[in-house]
Amino acid sequence: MQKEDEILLPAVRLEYQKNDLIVKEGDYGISIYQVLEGQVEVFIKSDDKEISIVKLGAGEIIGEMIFLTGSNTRRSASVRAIENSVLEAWHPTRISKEYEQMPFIIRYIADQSVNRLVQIDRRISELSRIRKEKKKPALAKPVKDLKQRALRKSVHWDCMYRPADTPKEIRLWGRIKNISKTGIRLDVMRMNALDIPHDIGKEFKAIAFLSNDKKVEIELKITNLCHLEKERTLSLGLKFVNLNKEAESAIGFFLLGQ
Amino acid sequence: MAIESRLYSYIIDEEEYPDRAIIITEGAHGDWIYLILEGRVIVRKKTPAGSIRIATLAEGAVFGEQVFLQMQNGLRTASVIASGAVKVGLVDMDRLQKEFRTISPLLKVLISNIAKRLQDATDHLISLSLNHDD
Repeated sequence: MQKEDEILLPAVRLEYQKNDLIVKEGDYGISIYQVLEGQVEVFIKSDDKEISIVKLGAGEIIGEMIFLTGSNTRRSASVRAIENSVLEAWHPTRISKEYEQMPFIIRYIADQSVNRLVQIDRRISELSRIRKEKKKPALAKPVKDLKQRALRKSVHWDCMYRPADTPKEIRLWGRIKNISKTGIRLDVMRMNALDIPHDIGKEFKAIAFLSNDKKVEIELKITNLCHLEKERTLSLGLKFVNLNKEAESAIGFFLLGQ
Repeated sequence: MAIESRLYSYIIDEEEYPDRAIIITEGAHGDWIYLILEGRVIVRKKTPAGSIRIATLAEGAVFGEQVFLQMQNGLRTASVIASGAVKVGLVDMDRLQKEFRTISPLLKVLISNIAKRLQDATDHLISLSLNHDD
C-alpha cells in the first residue's frame, strides 16, 4: 500500500453543479476523469450547434483518448455535468504503467480497438465536414474542394445499361450524375432496376446519351453503391472497365478545360 | 502485417473458410475471438438501407472482441465474412479471461469503454453515411 502511494500521483476529487463545463473541446489537457456520482454528457460543437455524443454515469471514464492514442492533441469533445456530479481526476501516469504491462493479448486487442476508433472518428469528422460544405453556397468552397471538382464533372446524362453477362434485350435506365477519368456515378430508380442484382464487382455494358446528342458505349464495373431517399434510389459508383478511343474522345471533352 | 509471434501461444485452434463464408453473424450469440492468420475478411452491419460494409480486416487483425470487451450480453454487433480464402486462429478464451481478471478495475472500465465508443462511433458513422441526401 505504502509503495503504491509513492508512485501514484494523487487523484483530485472535483464537484460540479448541473450545467458546469468539465472538459472543453479544443483545450489541451491530459487528466483522466472517472465519474463517481451523477451524470455527465459528452458533446461536440458543429456549426455552433451542440451534438450530443453520449451520457455517462458513475464508474465511467472520460478524457482517456489523449492517453490512449498517445497524442498531444487537444480535447476531441466537451463534457458537461447534467446533474450535480462528483468526479475524480488523475494524472495519466496512474494507469500508463499498468496499461503498458497488461497481458500481451489484452494490450494487442485494446490497441487495435483504439486504432479502429481513431479511424472511424476521422471518417466521421471528414463526412461531417463534407456535408457542411455541401450546405454552404458554392463561393465558400475551399481551393482543395475546387480541385477535386475539376476532376469530377457534374452531368445529367441518360444511360441505358444491362449486366455484361445478359442478352441485349434487357434494358435498364439510369441517370449519370457525374463523370471522372476513372468512372461515373449512376443513379437508378430502384423500381427500374427490376430484380437485376447490383452488387459490387458486377460488370455492365452501357450506352450514355451525352448532352451534345452523341451516344457512347462504355463498359463498367460497380465499385460502390448506396441507397438514397429511403431506398428509392440506388446510387452506383462505377469504374470504366473498357473505354474505347471513340468513347474517350467523346467524353474526354467534358473532362478537360475546367 | 506479420503476425507477432507471441500471439501464437494464445491460439488454440485454426479454422479455414472459403470465399464469402460467414464467420460471424450479426445478432447471433457467440463470444469467440478470432485472429486472422491468412487472408482478409469484410465486416458488415445491418442498416435500415440494407447491409453495408464497414471495414476490411487483414492478417494480424482481431475480430469478435466486442462481446468480450463490453462485458455485456453475448450478441454479435456485426457480421464477418471471408473475402477470398481465409485462415483464422481461435483465441484461448479461458486464458484471456484469466488474464483479464488480473488487471485493475479502472483499466477494465477503460478497455470496455473503448469497445463501447467504437460501437457508438460506428453507428454514428453509419447514420451519417445514410443521411447524405443530395
